[in-house]
This record gives sequence, C-alpha cells and structure tokens, in this order.
Amino acid sequence: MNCQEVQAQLSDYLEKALPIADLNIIEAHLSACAPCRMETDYLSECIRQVASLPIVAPPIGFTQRVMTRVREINERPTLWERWLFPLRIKIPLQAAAVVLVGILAVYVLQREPPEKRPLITSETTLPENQFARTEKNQETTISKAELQQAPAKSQALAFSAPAPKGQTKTTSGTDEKISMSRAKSLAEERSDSSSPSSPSLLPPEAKGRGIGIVSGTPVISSGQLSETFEFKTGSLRPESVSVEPFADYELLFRLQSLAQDSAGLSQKAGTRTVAERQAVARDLDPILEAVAGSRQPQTVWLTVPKSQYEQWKRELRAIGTIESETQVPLLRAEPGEQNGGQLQIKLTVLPAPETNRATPSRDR
Amino acid sequence: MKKQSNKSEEMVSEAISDAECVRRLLQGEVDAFEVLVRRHQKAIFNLVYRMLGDYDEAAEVSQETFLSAYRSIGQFRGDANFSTWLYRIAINHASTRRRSLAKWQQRTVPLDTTEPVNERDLDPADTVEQKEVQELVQKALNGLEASDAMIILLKDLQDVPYEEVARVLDVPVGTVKSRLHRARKALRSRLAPYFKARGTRK
Repeated sequence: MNCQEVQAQLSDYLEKALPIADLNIIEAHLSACAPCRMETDYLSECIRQVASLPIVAPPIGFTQRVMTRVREINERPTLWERWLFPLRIKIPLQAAAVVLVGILAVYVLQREPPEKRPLITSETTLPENQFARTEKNQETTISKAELQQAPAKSQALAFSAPAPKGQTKTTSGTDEKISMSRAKSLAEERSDSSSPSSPSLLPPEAKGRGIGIVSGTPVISSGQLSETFEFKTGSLRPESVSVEPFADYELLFRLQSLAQDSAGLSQKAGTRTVAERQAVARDLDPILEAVAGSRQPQTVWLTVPKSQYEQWKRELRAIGTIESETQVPLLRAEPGEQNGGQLQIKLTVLPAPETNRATPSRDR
Repeated sequence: MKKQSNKSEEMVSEAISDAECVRRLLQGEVDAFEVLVRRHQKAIFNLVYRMLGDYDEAAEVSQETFLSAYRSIGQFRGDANFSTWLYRIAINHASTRRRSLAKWQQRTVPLDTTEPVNERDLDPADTVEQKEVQELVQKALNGLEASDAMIILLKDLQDVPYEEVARVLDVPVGTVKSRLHRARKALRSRLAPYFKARGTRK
C-alpha cells in the first residue's frame, strides 16, 4: 500500500471503519512513513476540533416565537376562506358591485351608436344605382350655400330622387318623393359605414348643426301629409327611430300667406326669411319653401338648444303662426335634460290659408 | 422552578415519539408541533449556526426551518425520520442564506460577542486559546463549499450516523464517506497554517 492509497483511507482508518487486516496494514505504513503520519494527525485534529466546537443554546424564547408564528399561520384563513367566509362584509360589497355594473350596463346601452339599430330599412331596399346617382347629384350640385340661395333648385333636386317601391303605403305623388334630407342622410350613413367611395357628402355646416340630416320613412297614410323626419347629426337616439321620433314639443305652425303665385311666393319667402331670421331657425328654409311651394303640410323633427327655444319661436312667428304648442309628457324629468340641453321639436308646417287673410302672428 | 418546568416538558417530549407528534399535528393538534420544536431546536440551531457563522442569522434561519416544516408537514412521509426531514429543510434554508451572505461580505465569526451559553465545560485556563482555535475552525468552515461544510457538520459536529446522513442527502452511504473524506481534507488544507504554528510552538 503506497502513501496515496493510505491517505485515501485515512478517514475510515480514524473511524476504525475498516477490516482489522487493513487497519494493521495502514498502521504499519504510518509507523514507517512520517508524511502520512503527519497527515493522519492533521486530519484527526480537524475532526476533533469540529467535534469540540461548543454547542450553543438557541435564543431564549425561540420555541415560543416559532409557536406564535405557527398559530398565526394556523389562524390565517386560506385564500378560499378569505373570499367566502366574511359574509357580513362581502355580501354587501358584492351586491353593491352588481348594482354598479347594472347601472353601467344601462348607461353604456343608452350610448350605443344608432347605426347598430335598424334605423333606416330603405338602405337595403333602395337600389344601389339610384343611391349612387343621388350621391353624385349632391356631391356635384348641393352645398349649404346653394340650399339657401337657390332653394327652388335644391327642392327640385331633392324631389327628383325616386322612392323605392314598398317604402310607403301612400299613393299620393308627393309621398313617393324622397326628400333631399333623406338622401343626405343615406349618404351620410354610407360614409359612416366606411364605404370607401363616399367621403362625407354633407357640407360641413350642415353636418355641424343643420337640420335635415336624417329623415325617416313617411308613415302617415292620409294621402295628404308627407312626413320627413329630421334630426340634427348626432342627436339620434334609440327612442327616436321607432315609428315616430321622440319630441319634447310638438308644434303646429302655419305659414303666413304672402302672395298668390306659389312660385313667386316661394322665392319671396325664401329671401325674406333668410334676411330676417337669425341662425336658429334659418335651417328651416327648405322645408318652409317646400310647403309654400307644394301647399302640402310637412312635419319635421329637429333639435333646438333649450336656451334658444323662445328666440326660435319668435323667429317662426315672424313668418307665420304657431297654432298649437304641446309639451309631450314623457319620462324625462325636464325637457332637454338628457340631450345636453337640446330640445327635440316635432314641427308640422301647414301651408298658408287660401284666402289672403291676415294671421295674428305676433299676438301669441 | 424553571428547571422543573423544563424537566416536565422534557418528560412530555420523551413520552411521545416524533411520529406520534406528527400524527397529532396532522389531526389539528398544533401543540404537538411545540414538542417537535423543543426536541430538535438545539440540533437544528447549531447546524445552521455553524453553517452560517452568525448567531442572529442562525436564529432567523432556524425559525424559518421550523415554519417551513410546519407549513409542509402534509408532505412529510412517515417512512423517514422527522429529524432527517427537518435536517433537509434546514440545509436548504441555510445553504440559500449562506449564498446570499457570501455575496455581502466575507464573514467573520464574532464569537466573543454573540456566543451565548457555552454548554461544554472548558478548562478556564485553556479558554482563550480554545476560542481562538474555534474561531479559526469556523472561518475554515465558512471558506469551504457549503456541501463540504454541511457534511462535516452533520457527521463530526452532530454525530449523525452515516446512514442518516445518506438519507438526508439522498445519496448512498459510500458516497457520503468519500464526500466526507474529501471535505475533511479540504478543511485540513485550510487549517494547515494553524497546525504548522502549533507544531512549531510545541
């Protein structure tokens, strides 16, 4: 056995964990080999020194501290228990959360964009080529300025657009005409639905605050009345697209008769109203002229800022008579409150009486 | 008075085996764990203390060891000794802490300030030299690989039988022996200056 072999077994030798024969061989080697003897001494001393390291006592109160922590762990509820067990606190909290979510849901639903509703079915029924033609006409010829300065022209243009079959049950000739405003609304709808071929066809001003942006389906089947539903852009609300739009006020308005000749009257009324009236009611011009020209009643829906409502009525009275004004009793607490101070007005414009009698327009 | 209460606690501890304590603990008897803590705290604390060379760190790591054992008592299999299982947890915690401590500084052992009760009666005349030697040994242990220090401490300090060391480390007994021998030689190398100095002095 050489030194390397001996030193490899020194641990076992020191622990007497070897057969006696091997122990004797190693002992014989050690007695003859000083380096191996020294190595054995060192190793033995290492073991002795480690073994003689003092045993230290754990800190006082160690067990108590551990047990305190253990009991804390034990009493702390699990995640599952923390969610389910403090019912007194959790149930009201969760109930409040449910109520809050419900309120939010109602709020979000009310703000849902109107194009998701079946707003105007005529888009599907209106043939595509007619559509394109209407758009093209408007794109090339109609502007807000033209609407005001050349009312007759725009009137004719508007009426030139044919209504689709089945659109209305009335048989009157006027009912089969699609109004200008309606065509515009369709155009806008198309641009809203990201049709690539149609940039916004509306004049910016009309888009901003004008009337006649959207028109609905004529629904009155008297044969005399042709209805045009009109709204301000962005004021479309779910409740206004059913059969009849919602209105805070319903007004019956009769035009003042100015002249016998209908064409001349239309022209005169147009210039006069533009000159006299303020911005609030100016947008009504095309409708007023249409009524004056055709001598057929028309109904429009429009929005007027609540603050300007009285001014708007005064302006109307300058050119006719408000025969009745009805505030529609509905669920709203205050008219115009939910609509950002905008009043929804249903305005039925009646033509001037046949006889040239004076109307007490300013008495009311 | 204190001795008496300690005595009674020890009697209680003696009366119930580790396995019985674990069984009771699993049945929800938290106090059974206290018996286990009292019974094993000294061994665990000293092993950790020598692994780390710092009394306060050892107190913290020992507490973590027992808390870990409590939390995972459901994973303890009855076929092993509770002490084996506890050693394993202690070694894991101590090794982790030793690594993080090593990053901070080369640690020295402030034996003179933190050494509490020395339970072995030392010859008073020999005490100063003994302390110096102990400090050297601790420094040498700190300088060893954690696995080497740990196997030396288990066998030479705690006098844990080879078979149990093998179970703690989950290796064969032969492997324990060869690793231990290698670790002792590493320690001897570190203590060689001391041996030489002592040799010349003698």
